[in-house]
Amino acid sequence: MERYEQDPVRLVVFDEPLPEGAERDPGVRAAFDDVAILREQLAFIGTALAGSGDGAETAAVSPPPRPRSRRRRVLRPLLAGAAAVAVLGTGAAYLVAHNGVPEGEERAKPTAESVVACATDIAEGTVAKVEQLGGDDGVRVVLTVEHAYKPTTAQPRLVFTAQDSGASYFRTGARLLVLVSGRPGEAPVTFREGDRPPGDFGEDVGKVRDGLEYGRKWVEKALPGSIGIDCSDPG
Amino acid sequence: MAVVRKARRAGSGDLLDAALVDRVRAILALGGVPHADLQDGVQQVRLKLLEARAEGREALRSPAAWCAVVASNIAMDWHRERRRRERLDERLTALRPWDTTQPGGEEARVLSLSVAEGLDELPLPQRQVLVLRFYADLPVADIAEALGIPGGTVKSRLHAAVRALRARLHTDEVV
Repeated sequence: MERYEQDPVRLVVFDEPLPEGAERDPGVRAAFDDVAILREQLAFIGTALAGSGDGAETAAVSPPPRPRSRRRRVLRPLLAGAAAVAVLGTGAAYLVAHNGVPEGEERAKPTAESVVACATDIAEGTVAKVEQLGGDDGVRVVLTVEHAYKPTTAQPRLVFTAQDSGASYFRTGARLLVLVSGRPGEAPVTFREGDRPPGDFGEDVGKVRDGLEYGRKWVEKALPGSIGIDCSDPG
Repeated sequence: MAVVRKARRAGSGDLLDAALVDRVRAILALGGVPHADLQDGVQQVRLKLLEARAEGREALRSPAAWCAVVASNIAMDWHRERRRRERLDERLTALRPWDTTQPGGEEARVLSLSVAEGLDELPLPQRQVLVLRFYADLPVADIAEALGIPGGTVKSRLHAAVRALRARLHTDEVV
């Protein structure tokens, strides 16, 4: 693995696209991990000390779990007050929302194969930049692509817009698998490193350690069956 | 303080929604303002927002970002005015009992205290840009514009702050 000569902290804190290959450098990955910890701790400390607006300090505080190891850092979001999407990831939340469709209505239920078929881009990578759009238009996310599923000859960066849950789901340095839909108005589906996998709400893809790994297996399982599916039907 | 109380009596309606108030309070707290002074800090932000709108001044991209910068400046002013400040780690420790029944509760507590101590030890300008960048999620360019300093200065302060905190976390062996 090519050693990255530049100071990895510079790459993490500055608003600049990552140079080619930087995302594979262990020093850069470690810097991203540490900054992700700092972000979560700032959110926790600030919220804990600020307390509620009525002047009472927080009664009992639950700090975010300590990261287990540098190599397989599993960072979980602060759960208190976090939206479901920030806890489960939009991919798992999508599956939760679309499960439980009554028998006989399979045509209306989007399958994994149809979601994959109707995605224009499917890629895994690291969030390089997040920009707030005006009003309720959400955020614009720039992802440095590390692995492209669709198309296989994807560009080094994938840019998409999404609604942020308000708990800063999309953070610089976060590792995501993203499916950008080709259907107008349909939000992207994402699976984030460190999030809980969907468990009973999801499909059986075997044992996984987090939402990101679940997403990889979910996509890989659906890809063969997605070929030839017609995306013109919005159902 | 007298100016803040006048604004309250003016009763112009709340310019800050509940979520923004919480965010402003957190930025003030991260900046070292004690809990007892947070509400006054929020009132100062409201007043400045009123003034900016009355003067037709262009805010940052969003009110949330503008309020974040104003709150961080108020925290800086608080430190300049007051000699004594309560250390973040002392205030965290003084909170009612931490929930150590959660997985990794005690280790997580140690991590949070380490970050709080590191934050307290940062020079104020570094602490300010760190909070604006990694709590308020403002881009470097917006921070530079709002504080009236070059982007390079923001970057160098961020760089120094992150390096110092990373060194602290590794020295304390919490990562």
